[in-house]
Amino acid sequence: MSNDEGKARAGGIGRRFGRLGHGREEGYTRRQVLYGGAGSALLLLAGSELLAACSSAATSSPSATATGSSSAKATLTLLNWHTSTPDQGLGEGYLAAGKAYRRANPNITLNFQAEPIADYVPYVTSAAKTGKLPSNVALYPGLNHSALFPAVKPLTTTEVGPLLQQLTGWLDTELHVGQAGTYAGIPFGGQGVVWYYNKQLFEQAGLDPSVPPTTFDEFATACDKLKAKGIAPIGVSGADSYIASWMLESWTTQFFPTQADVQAFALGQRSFADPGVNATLQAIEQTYKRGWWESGFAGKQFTDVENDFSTGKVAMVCGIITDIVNWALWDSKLGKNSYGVFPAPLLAGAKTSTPTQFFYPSILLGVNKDAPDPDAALAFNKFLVSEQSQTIVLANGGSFPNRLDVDVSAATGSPGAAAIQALLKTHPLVDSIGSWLNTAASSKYIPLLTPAVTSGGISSYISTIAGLQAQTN
Amino acid sequence: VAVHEVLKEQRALADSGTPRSPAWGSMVIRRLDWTAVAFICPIAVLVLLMVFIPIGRTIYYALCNYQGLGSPQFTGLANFRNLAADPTFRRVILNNLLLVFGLFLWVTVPFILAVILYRRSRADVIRTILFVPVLLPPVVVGTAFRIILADNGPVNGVLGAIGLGHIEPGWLTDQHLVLLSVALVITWAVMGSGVLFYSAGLAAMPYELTEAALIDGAEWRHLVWHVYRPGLRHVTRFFALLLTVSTVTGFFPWIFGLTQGGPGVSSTTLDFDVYESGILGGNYGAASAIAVCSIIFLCMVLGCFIVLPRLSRRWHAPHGLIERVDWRRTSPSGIRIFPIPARRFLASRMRDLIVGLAILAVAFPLVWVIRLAFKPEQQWIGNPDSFGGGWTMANFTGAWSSGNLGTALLNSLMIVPLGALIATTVSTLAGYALVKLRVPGKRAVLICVALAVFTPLPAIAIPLFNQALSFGYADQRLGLSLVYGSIFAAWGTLLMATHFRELPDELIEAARVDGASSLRTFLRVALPLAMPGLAALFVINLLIQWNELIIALVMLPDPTKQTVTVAIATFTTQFRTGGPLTAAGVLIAACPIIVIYGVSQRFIRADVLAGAVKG
Repeated sequence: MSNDEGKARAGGIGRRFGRLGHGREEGYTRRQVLYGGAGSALLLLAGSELLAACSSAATSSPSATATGSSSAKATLTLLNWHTSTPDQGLGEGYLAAGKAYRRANPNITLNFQAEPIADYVPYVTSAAKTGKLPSNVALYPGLNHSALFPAVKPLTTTEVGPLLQQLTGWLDTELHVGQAGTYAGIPFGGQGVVWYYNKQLFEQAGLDPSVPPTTFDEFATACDKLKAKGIAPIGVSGADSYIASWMLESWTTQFFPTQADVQAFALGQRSFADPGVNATLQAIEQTYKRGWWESGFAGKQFTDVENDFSTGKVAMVCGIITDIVNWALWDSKLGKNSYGVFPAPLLAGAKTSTPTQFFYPSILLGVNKDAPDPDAALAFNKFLVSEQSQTIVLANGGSFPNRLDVDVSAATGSPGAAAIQALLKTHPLVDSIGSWLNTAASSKYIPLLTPAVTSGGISSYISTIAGLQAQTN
Repeated sequence: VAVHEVLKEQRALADSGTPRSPAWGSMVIRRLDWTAVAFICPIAVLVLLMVFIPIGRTIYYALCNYQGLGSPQFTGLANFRNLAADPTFRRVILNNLLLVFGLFLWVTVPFILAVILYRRSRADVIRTILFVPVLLPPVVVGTAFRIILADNGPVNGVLGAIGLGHIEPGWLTDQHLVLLSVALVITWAVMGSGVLFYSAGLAAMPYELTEAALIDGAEWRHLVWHVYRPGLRHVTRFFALLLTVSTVTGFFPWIFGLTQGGPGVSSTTLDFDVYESGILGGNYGAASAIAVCSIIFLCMVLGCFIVLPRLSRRWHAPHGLIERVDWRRTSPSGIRIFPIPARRFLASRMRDLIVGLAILAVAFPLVWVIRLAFKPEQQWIGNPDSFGGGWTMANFTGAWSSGNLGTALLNSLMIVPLGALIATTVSTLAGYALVKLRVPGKRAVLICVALAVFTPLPAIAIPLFNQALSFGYADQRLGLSLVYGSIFAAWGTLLMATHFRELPDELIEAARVDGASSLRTFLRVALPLAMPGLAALFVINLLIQWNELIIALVMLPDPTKQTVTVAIATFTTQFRTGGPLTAAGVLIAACPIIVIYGVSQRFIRADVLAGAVKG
C-alpha cells in the first residue's frame, strides 16, 4: 500500500466517523474514538463482572460458600500419591471434587498429579528443590513425612479459622510442624483400622454372623471353629507386612487409649519397649502360632489378600477404611450385605473396657510455600475438607471423611461404610502409635513385623524399633 | 617433553637452596606437552567433579542431620553411633559378607562350563545362549525371578509336579533362604560373562600344555585341576574382584527387582539400605553414613584382594605357571568300578549333562516370562504355575500405557547415546595420554581413575543431585548424560589404556620423526588403529548406561523424563503382582538391549576376549 493510498484510506475512515458526529461542527477524531471504545469496553466488562457477581451471590451456591469463590485467575495443581493407578480410588474422588470446585470457580484451572506412593518422598523432595513442587501438596500426617514439611507454608490458627472445630486430626498437624501455633496443612479424610468378616463363612462355621467377636477369647473361638471347617480364619500379607501392621495398630489403641498416651512416643516419653506394645505383639503371635493365618501368606501382598477376602477364601481380614483393603472393594466384589465390621477384640490386660477405635486423618493438605498464588491454593484446600467436598470424595473415591457431619450412609449406600461410621461414633477415637514413630523407626517397623512374629523374634523386634525410635538424627 | 627431567631439576633447585630464576616457570610451561594436558584434563576434571567432590559431600552429610530439604546441621558422629546401635544395620553388613561367599558359585560355575566348552563343537552357540542373561538389565532379571521364584511360581510348581510338593520352599519369602536365592539368581545373571572371560583365558593358553598332559595320561579332571585352574588364575582373580566389588556397588538393582530387601531386612544390602534410608526415607544424613560405611567395606575388600595373595604362596604363583604333577600319583588307586574307556564315556556324558542343565537353567526363566507375558490375566490368577492357557497381546498394551514405557524408551534414547559418546571420547583421550604421552602426575591420575571405578554409585547419588541443583542441570536429560559420561569414563579410560598399550611405540615414534605433532599422531595413527576397541567401548557404555538405575532414579525425579530402566523398576514395584502385566513390561524393557547387542555383538566379544587374554 502506497503512502497516498494509506492517507486516502485514513481520510475515508475519518470522514465516516465525522458523519456519525451529528450536531458537531467537526466529527470525532480517531484518538477520541479509540479512547471512547476502550472505555466502553472496560465499562462493559466491569458491568458483566458485577452482574456475574450479583447472580452468583443471588444463587448462593453451597460450593461458593465453602470455597469463598474468587474471580482471580489461577492455576492450581494438587500433588498426591496413589497405590495403583492415579485415577482410581482417592484420585477419582479428587477429580469429582475438582469438578464441583471448577463449577463455582470458573477462573481456577485445576490439575491433579499423582505419584506412586513408594516414590513419593523422593519426588516431593526433588520437586521442592528444583522449584517444581505443585501449588497444593498432599502429605502423610505422620512423622515419616515430617522431612517434607519445610516445603509447605505453615498455617496460622487465623488462617484455618473454624475448620479447627469442624475437622478431627489437628493434633498431628500441629505437633509435627514443630512451630507453636502453626500447622503444616489441613487434615483431610479419615483413616482407621477395622476387622472385616465374611458373614457366609461365619454361618458355615456355625457362628452367628450378626454377633462378631468382642473379646480375644470370642475371637479365638471363632477362629478355631472356622479352622475346624477348613476355612482360613485370617488373611495376612507376609510379603509386604501391611496386614500385620494394621493388626498392631488396631490393638495398640487398647493399651494407649488417649491421645496423650500416643503422643508420648513422639515426645520420647514412652519407648516402643512399653509392655503394651509387647502385649499387642503377643496377641498377633497367637494368631500365627494357632494356625489362623491363611496358607501361603508369606508370599502374599495386600492385593492378594484383597482378592482372597473378595472371593471368600478367608473369613476375616484386618483392613483399613480408606483407599485399599476396605469396604468399597468388598461392596463391589463380595456384595454389600455379605460382610460385617467389628473393632479389634478386647485383649486381656487392656487399659480400657470399651474397645477403642484407631482413627486419624489420612492426609494433610499443604500449600507449597513458593506457590505463585498461595491464597487460591489454600482456598482450594479448604474446599476439599468441606462437608460438600468430603461427601463427593467419599461417594466417588471411598475416602472416609474426618468430619462427622457427612452422611456416610447416604453418600455411599453401603451398609459396611455405615457400620464403620456408627463404630466411629460409638467408640473412643484415638491415633495409632505408628504415626508417632520417627523416620528411622517407621521405615522399619512394618517390614520387620511379620518376619519377627513368624520367627519368634518379638523381643528382638521390640528392642530394634525402640533403638531406632531413640535415635536423635 | 621430559617432564621428569624438569621435575628433577626443580627438586635439585630446591635442594641446593638456589632461588628460582624468573625464567624457570616459563621453561616448565614451554616444555609441557600441551596435547597431553588437554587430553588428560577432561577425565581429571570430570572425575574430580562427579566422583571425588560428591564423595567429600557424602562424608560431610554423614556428619550431619540432613533431611533433604533445608541445610545440613552438623551433629558429629551421631549418625555413625546410631548405625552402630542398630541391629538391622548389623544384619545388613552380615548380608553383604554372606553374599561374598556367593563368589564360590559365581566363579566356579562359569569356570566349569568354560572348561567343558573348551574346543568343543558348537561352543560359540552355547556361549551366546549363556550370555543372554548378561544383557538384561539387573532390575529386569530381579523382576523376572520374582515371578519364577514366587511361592506359587513355576519352580515350586515343578517341584510339586515331580512329587516334591512337600518341600516347596519360600525362595524369596523365607528369611533364612532368601540370600541363597539372591546368590543363585546372580549366578544365573553373571554366568555368561564368566564363561566368556574364562573362554578367552583358555584360548590364550597354549594347547600344547593340554596335549602334553594328555600324552602323560592325565584325565579330564586332572586337566581341570592341574592345568586349567592354575592357568586361569589371573582370570579368576579379575572376575572375583569384579564380583566382590559388585556386592557393594552393583547389587542394588537386583535386590530392588527381586526382594526389595525383604523379608524384613534379610536381603537388604548396603547399597539398597542407602536407597531406602536416604532416597525413600528422606534421611540423607543416615544414608550418607551408610554410604561411608559401604566405602570402608569396599576398601577392606580391596585390601583383602591385595593382602591375601601375598600371604598365600600358591595364590602368588607366577601368572600362567602350570603345576608340576605326576599324573600317575594323582590317579586314584584301588578298585575301579568301570574300565577306563567306560569311565571316559561316562565323564563325557556327564559334561554334556552339565551343559544341558546350564542351557535349561538359562532358558527356563526366559521362556516362562515370555509365555506369561502373553497369558490372559484371569487365567494366570486362576492357575499361576501353569504353562498352558490362552494367548493375548493385551498385557503389552496395558504395560505400555500404564507404565509410560513409550516416553521412557524415548528418554533413554535421548540420554544414553550422548552419555556413551561423552564417556567414550573422554576415555579415549585419557587412555591414549596415559600410556603414550608424557603426562605430569600420570601415576596420581591413574590412581584416581582406578579409585573412581570402584566408587559405589549409591554413595554419591545424593550429593550428585545436590551438585546438579547448584549447577542447574538437575532433572535435565542432558545433565544425566553428562553425569553418565563422567562416571563411566573412568572405567573406559582403563580399558582404552590397555588398548593403546598394545599399540607399538615404533609407530608413534615414526610419526614423530616424520614431524607429526602429538595431536596429529593421535588422530592419524593411534585412533584408526584403536577403532575396534573404541566401538566396543561405546557399545559397552550403551549397555551399562541403559541398565543403570540408581543415578537415573535420583537425578530425574520428573516421571516424564525417567529412563526405561527406572520406568520398569517403578512399574514393577507399583504393580507387584508378578503377573502377566509385569512380564510384558519386563519384555518391553529388555527388547532394546537385545537389539543393541544383536547389532554390535562382534565388537563386544572381540573386546572382552582381547581384554581377558591380556589378563
